[in-house]
Amino acid sequence: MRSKRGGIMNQMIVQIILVGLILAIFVFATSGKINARGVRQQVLEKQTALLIDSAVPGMDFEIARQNLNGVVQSMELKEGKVFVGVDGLGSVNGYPYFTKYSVQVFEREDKFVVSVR
Amino acid sequence: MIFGKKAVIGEGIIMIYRLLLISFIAFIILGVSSIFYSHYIDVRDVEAQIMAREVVDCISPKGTVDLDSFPEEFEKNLLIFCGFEDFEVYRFYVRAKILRGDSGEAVETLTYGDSGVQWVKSIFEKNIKAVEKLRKYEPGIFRESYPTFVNDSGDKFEGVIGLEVLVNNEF
Repeated sequence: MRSKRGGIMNQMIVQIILVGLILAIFVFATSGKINARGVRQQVLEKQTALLIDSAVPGMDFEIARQNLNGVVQSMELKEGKVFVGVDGLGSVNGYPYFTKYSVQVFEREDKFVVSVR
Repeated sequence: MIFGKKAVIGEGIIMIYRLLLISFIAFIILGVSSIFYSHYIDVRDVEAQIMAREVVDCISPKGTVDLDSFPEEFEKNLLIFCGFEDFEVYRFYVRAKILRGDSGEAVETLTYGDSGVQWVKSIFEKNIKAVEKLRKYEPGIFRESYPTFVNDSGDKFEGVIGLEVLVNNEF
């Protein structure tokens, strides 16, 4: 037997503890992953853009799908921007590059090849 | 007062429902905030440096600036003269001053882009506390002087290219 007030208090405490636990688990489990993916995507997009910026005609460079920065799922060049999809995180904004030359990207086996002509 | 068995089960179900709702909201908040607060990697200084190399190669091929080779309409459109498209260099401001090597007198100034970015950069260079949180918006910069030869309508002399490249943010 227990009083109504005591029962409600107990429930509240249990709920608060559970909510706190769930929040903590979410923060630890997802924030690291989400941020890391975003940063790795930035790294890949900016590295690729800088390589294109400084490339001269005749230069090809390869980006492996199984990359140090994660699994590269897609790579596109659109409207002067590089878009790289990493670990299921698609690129929305991309990163701008500049070049006087013609640049193309195509898939070859397990890598993406960026060709500057 | 005694709690009935059904009431306890009912409250348990409501609690699970609440917890799921809170988890869902927490997940959305975390996801959205991670997009807006993700770490920013700044490569604008490097871009400015690469662009500076491109500009010098363009205006001083083989180490000589031929002042007669710049049509008047390109004096404020240097990067277009160099073969870039507007949509890919909209973030850049470039100023190339061609100076006499002996007197330092400017014989030609070639530019591209919005000079307002210089003003923005000057605010950041003053190290005002108010702009500390806005570092993400600080333009990238590269300034350098390159010795060269200048050909001004047959008059050849030693000169210097004083180059300044500023890169605005991409947001």
